[in-house]
Amino acid sequence: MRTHASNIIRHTFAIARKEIWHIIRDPISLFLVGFGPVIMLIIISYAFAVEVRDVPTLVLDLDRTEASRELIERLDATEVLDVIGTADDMSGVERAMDARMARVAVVIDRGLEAMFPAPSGDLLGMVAQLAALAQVGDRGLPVSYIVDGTEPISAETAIETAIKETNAFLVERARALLDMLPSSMQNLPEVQRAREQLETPIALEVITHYNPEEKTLWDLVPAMIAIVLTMPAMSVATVIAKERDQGTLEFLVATPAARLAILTGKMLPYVLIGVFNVLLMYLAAVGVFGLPFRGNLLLYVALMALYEFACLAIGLFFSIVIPNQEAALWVSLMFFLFPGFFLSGMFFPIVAMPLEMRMEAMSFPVSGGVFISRSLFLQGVGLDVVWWAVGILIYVGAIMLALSVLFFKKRIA
Amino acid sequence: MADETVLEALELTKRFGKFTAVDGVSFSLRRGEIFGFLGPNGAGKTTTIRMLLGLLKPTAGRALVFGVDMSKAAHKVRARLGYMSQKFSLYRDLTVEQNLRFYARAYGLSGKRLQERVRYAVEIAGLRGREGERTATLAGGWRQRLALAAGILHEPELLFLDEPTAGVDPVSRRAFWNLIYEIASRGTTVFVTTHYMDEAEHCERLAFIYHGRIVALGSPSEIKREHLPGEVVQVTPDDPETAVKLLREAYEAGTLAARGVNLHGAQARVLTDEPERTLVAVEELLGGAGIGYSDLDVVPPSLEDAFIKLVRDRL
Amino acid sequence: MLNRILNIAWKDFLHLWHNKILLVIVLLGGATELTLVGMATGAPIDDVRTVIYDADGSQISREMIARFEADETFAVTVADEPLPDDLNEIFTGALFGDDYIVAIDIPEGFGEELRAGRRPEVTIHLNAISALAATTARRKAEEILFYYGAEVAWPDVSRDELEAFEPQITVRYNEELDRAQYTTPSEAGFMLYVIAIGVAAFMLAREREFGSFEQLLVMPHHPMEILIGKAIPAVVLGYANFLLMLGVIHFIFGVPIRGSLPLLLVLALFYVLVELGVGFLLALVSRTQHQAVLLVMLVAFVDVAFSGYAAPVESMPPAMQTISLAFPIRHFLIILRGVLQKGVGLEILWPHVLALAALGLLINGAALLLFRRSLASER
Repeated sequence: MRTHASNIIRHTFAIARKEIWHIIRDPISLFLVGFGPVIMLIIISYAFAVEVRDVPTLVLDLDRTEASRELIERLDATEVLDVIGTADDMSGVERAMDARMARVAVVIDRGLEAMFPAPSGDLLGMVAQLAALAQVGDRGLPVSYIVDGTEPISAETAIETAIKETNAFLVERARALLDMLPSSMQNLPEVQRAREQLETPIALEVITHYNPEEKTLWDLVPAMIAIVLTMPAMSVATVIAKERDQGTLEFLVATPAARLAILTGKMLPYVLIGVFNVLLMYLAAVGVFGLPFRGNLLLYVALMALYEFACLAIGLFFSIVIPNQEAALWVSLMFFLFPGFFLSGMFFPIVAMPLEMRMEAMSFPVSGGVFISRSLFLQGVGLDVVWWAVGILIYVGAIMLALSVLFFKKRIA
Repeated sequence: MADETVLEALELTKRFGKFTAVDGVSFSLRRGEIFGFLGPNGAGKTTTIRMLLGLLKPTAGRALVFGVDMSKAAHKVRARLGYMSQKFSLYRDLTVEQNLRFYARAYGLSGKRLQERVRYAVEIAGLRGREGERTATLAGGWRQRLALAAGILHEPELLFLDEPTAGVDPVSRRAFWNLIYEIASRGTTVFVTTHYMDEAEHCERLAFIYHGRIVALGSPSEIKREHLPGEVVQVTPDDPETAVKLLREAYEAGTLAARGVNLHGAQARVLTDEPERTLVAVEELLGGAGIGYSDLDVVPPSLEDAFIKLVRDRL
Repeated sequence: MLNRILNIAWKDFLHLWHNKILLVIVLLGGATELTLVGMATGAPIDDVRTVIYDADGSQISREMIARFEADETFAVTVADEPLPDDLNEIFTGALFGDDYIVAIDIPEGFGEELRAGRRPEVTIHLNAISALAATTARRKAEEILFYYGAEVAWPDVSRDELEAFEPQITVRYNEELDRAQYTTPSEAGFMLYVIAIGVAAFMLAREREFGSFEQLLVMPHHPMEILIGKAIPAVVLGYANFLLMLGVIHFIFGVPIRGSLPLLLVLALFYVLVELGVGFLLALVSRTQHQAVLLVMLVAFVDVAFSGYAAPVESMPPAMQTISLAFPIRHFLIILRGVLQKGVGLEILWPHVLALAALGLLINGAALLLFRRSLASER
């Protein structure tokens, strides 16, 4: 029994050595498999995690007063909006929006300056006017925004910024006028009420944990690490099919143990490549993107290796049940990469979904990998939290490997 | 008509960087003959054939096919040529019929003539009733025959075969050569490369290429006569390796009158100008060393003997 | 000549026909992918797990919790013990058994202070493990707190009056800010070309790998006939996918077709022809199908990055913005959105059509050059 087991292990390593040799002999593929993931991580993270900024904004200023100029400067000073020019009339705005020259247009109607009382003359009248400012009433605010909704995420950010800045502009200007009143008037109930209504009714303190600036980059990079790690799995998906295509599938092995040895032997080099990739990508995440890494690096590498194993097992299964390498490649591409992007929380925050739905998405191993990667990176938690995702990975990996061993024989026979 | 030249290689040379793959090769093909292009792997056979086909531009020299310079205007004669490459024979995922139809249409056949030729090709490939099978499922020998049949669908005047029988079993090779004879008998000139010596004997004329140079050119008997005067003493010893070692030592020491000693399969072959004397000497040597043997005889030299000698002379 | 071209195209279709799995993927992959994307991104961010601790327990604080409960964005759990100092315990599920995204702390005396207009403080902790979920929840919570607070603190100010204090926002083209309306056209433009260059690269790389390419060259084909013959299946399949995806976009995800449909169909065809060269280039630099597919993937990712597929190009660093102009997909996505959502025509889109034409010449020219070089130097 003992010699049998050691034979199998020897067999496994022999296959692994041969497989490594195959990979090394094809330098382009070696490069793509070895460095492709980290290159992709960097490119994609830059592209997808662009914080919304410098949204091109066009101004149509019909008020042409100190107040309107102040508002425009204020908007331009934000990170999110970037004033690129002025239009003369609405048709100019339309054209610029249609041609995508501008994605936001701010239209300031006549009467913005006039909303604010002149700082001289009837002081009590001025206070009344300021108090009413908070409740513009039926007049409405002579400021409006037109937003291009074709890109909703950036549009939402632009809208939020526009509202915040407009409100802040009104409030600060009104407050400055109230401050100019003589101190004898400051205690008047009308003045106090006017001040009160310039504030929000509840003082809200928002504390954002793990990612204080709510940067998309921070949750995207750990997710991408898990997603691009499926690349070796896609390579392995072609291995068996390739050998079958070329007629070099040399083994017709009797015992399940020996088949297991062959399959694990084929996977081993890719797991090693995966570990190499994880380390490279960890360095890129911390070094290039400035992410914090709060967990245990050793545990992280080990769990990512497990995740790689689960993905490889699926790739291997495809490779065995699908008759030729082209189809195997495409199926794994469709299975891993494209849905991986969407189901793993890159576009839609899976973490915010109800738990039952999450369990389903999690059994899709890419989601599990994303979950583990994020939790260790940002939350710095350990096995006590991610254990159940780890369990799913082991379960999926084992089932797939078992099915592979089973089908391997059938397909060859 | 019989002596009409269909192909002419004039000082063809191809260099890849510093490496000279083909070095000043010249020969010509007459209409209707089977011309063998013989040489070990890596001698420059495929490079030469690719220059002849206009796939590769020669570094120097010219390849004229039907008088057309192949590096300049190959398209003018393509329709008159057929080619069966060493690497690829037919699309494996397509059926027999689909492959043949693709070839036929590519050469501009259509309508009734296409039907006729495809049927003929199926016939000579011996695949009647199997038209709907994928070529991947055919055994190697069948596939080669089918590839050859595809290559002559358009009745080319000149057919290039690059290692057509590589990896095919001996029985299939025999059948394959019968097919080549049949094609040639219909007036098609055949240019065939091979590294099998026995196949070379089937050719009417031969060029032997070694390290990019032609070292022998002519009919098999001319080559043997020119490069290998004399005869061969052949013996089948019980222990061929020891026997050859022994004979070779004697030859090198000058005690065995011979021009060379080779091992060919299980046989020791001694080249000699004085067969009778050598026969006796071999008998004595083997007997003295206690090596048993059978089939001791004087035979005419084979092409292989000639080529071994040619190669030896250049070492 | 036409016969020979069609012969090659027909043969390539036969290859696909014999490879059923690939055929299904190439035919339906685009639409399936698109539907998945649309469904994943079109779903609103709902039921964000929220835990609220109410130290006040007043009528007012309970009413505020009810407001959160009534809102679809939040799925509220009321905690019966104070939030821990270490919020990790809530966010990882260690304390209340679920990993919450939002934790709200309502202080004692909240109701009384709010009614008196003394601006009580409420603390919201966000678990930003998903920035998008955190941002959405934050915006919604701010809104609820503002309007509810105003209702209690300033009973004489009506909701209409409060809203009038805000600037008027008009959203154009995608009025509901539906994210599926953004992602599905992106995906269609993307898949259109991934399928086209995938098939082109695959079919050419395949002939080169098996050595059959040489056989084609020895036949009386002009090299251009081979290229055109191989282009036909790629264009046909890419385009068929596009038509299917356009149907899905319009009928399932409700993206309007406000501009001229014929114009869009013509420009889409033009675009496939532009991108085709990319497929050929990739096939020509790779030695096997495997390499070709890996390269297609890599290029597709770079394209996604630069195209404005996922994030607006204007937000990228200036250098990246300039580089992005060299990617045909960037121009096509502008054309696609322009025709579909904005209803504009050539009068607005012509610069992008011109850019596509220029890039097409460049890419296909390069592919041709490389093709001729590979013909000359193939050994």
